[in-house]
Amino acid sequence: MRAGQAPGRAFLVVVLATAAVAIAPARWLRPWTTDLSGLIWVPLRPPAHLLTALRHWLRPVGEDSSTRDMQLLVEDRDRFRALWHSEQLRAEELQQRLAQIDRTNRMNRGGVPVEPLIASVTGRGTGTSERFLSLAAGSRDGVREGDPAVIGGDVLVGRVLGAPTDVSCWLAPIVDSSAGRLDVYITSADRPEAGPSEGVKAQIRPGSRGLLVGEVDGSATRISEGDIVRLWDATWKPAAQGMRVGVVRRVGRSDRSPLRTQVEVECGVDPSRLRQVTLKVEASQ
Amino acid sequence: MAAAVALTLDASLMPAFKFAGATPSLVGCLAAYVALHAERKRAWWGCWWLGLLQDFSSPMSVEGTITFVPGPFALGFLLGGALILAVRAEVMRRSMVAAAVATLGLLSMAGLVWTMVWTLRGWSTDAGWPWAGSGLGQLWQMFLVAAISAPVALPISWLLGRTFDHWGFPASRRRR
Repeated sequence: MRAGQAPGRAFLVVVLATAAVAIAPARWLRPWTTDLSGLIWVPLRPPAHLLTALRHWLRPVGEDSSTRDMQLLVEDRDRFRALWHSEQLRAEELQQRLAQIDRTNRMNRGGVPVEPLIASVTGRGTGTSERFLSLAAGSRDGVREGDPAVIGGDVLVGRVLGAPTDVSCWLAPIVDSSAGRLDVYITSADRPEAGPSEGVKAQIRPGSRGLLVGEVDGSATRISEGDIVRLWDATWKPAAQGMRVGVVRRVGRSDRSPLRTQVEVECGVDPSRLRQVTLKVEASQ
Repeated sequence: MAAAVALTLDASLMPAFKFAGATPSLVGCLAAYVALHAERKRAWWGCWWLGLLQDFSSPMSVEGTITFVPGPFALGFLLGGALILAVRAEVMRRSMVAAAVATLGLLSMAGLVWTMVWTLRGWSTDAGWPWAGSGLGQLWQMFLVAAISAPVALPISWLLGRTFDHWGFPASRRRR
């Protein structure tokens, strides 16, 4: 290092302190870093929200998305064409929101009264945490840690991770490794109304290719591609139970234990393309 | 202000330019630019600050809840900045290609340090690692981010070059 241009002793102390903080226990970091991050992002969130909208305009959901079937695509396309021509975009958008709230209300299977809360995606984590979505809804709106987020009534997106701030919260998608193992049941695509007793129980976890992978007993030959996977996990809130996690994309023998069957599940939603989600928050008494 | 703009764009607009599963990092481009042009002392501080801001914008799931860990990116950007400071006298700093290569180097080093710190954290606690798959896979993912950020640094450095006189870099002061 050149003389006179060294960063100085104070800087070395700062670097050492940074290294110490980097490996410090999370329980010590969490109380103050979460608040500090919230403070940093207070002025940045409104422009980030606007730019997120711009991104969705630049990169709209493609019609070749493999997560939707062709019929839904055609319906969506026609619906949006109609919206475009009707010059009543605002009114139609409100109508859609109302329908989504209605569907979510009807999907309340957990026995706990829930209220649907539509939350806009204002941004994402940067760098390595880009899968986390920042939502414009917080404890002031009744959001609590663990509240599930869905789209289209029953497609599970993820759940709120950590304590929300007054006006915002972080959503961890189910494809993120933070979701851990998920207990699910798999039902035939031909009988979407089938209950858990008719399905095959499985435990799946996020894989490295954006899919969820898991293994079931080899005798479970009833599983085939296209089957529907639904959540049945006691560690999730009741409002999330029975929500659709995705569809089976591949069924094959497990390399590690040949007597078991490996399934790969594709999630019902690509979190990076979401503009808004419906949070299922507990209804206030 | 540039850091705020870069952070905001990284969190909102840049995913539109996602390629092969990697999203370019404007904060990384900015840090490389600062490391190329600023006085050494300011370059050190600049890289540290930018890395720290990146840490505070990167929520991680630790023990089942959201946690911001200051340090992994701050140290990574520092090491990446050190790499640039060591070689910058040998390159044409105003060249856009130099900015792109510097971005690649800085973000690769940052990825290496980030993965090392989180591996260390994973070993020291029961919480495990915040990625699916192996650490090598994560390292590869970080390298992809660096690789995709390098071409993005070309127009960014051109854009920053338009405002070069306002940055207060030694070269810009001499030009005045």
